[in-house]
Amino acid sequence: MINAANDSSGRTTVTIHGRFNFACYDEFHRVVGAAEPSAYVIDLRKVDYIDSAALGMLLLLRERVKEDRARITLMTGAGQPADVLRLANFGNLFTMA
Amino acid sequence: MNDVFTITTLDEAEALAERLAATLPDPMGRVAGILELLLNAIEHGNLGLSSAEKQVLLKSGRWQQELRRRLAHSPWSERVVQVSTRRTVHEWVLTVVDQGEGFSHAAAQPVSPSQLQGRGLSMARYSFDSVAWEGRGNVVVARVVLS
Repeated sequence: MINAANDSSGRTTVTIHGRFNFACYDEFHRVVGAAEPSAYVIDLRKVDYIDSAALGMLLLLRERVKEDRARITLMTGAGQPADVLRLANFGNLFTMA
Repeated sequence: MNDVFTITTLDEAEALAERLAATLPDPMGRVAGILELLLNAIEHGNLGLSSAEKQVLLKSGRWQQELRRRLAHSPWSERVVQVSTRRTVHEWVLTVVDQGEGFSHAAAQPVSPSQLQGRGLSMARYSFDSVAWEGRGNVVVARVVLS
């Protein structure tokens, strides 16, 4: 399940619950493609697991912001999502919180 | 203990991956790897989607739409993925067989994170104690050591 909220500064916060996998692609694409925000916060703290399609979605979003590391913040908790993002060295590509 | 399953769709792959992972230690650490192998068999095996085609579809937002289209049309719609599991005291072995043309598995090397291709295969290697491709690349065998 994906929820998105925009704030007055043009930042979009996308909160994902449960699985963040291939099946989220259409919804993720729709949510993040709807506007041209200045920055994104992707809240993954309630995600059970992520797959490689989810990593691909984050990388495509990164292309949308011209690979500007400061414009996408990934919020991770513990467990598989945090492990996978660390192993994929996403800390070099995104701001991690 | 042996089990055999047959899947066709992406939704079936997701449901089976979660069901199989639930029988293993650290289910959330395993589920993405199982899912990768099942989706890979459907998408790149049975549906014949190349990595280059996938990149174009992903960027245009039409990826899922194209997979659904192929799943509904012959010859793709007639292909199935056979999934079997074997569990002993010592290990759990997953074998996935698709009906595609296969690929050059000798060329499947770990990739850097910013490369879009091959991340799924790297994820599978992360989830299992071993992963090996057999046949013409249309058979993959993954092992989890249990004791």
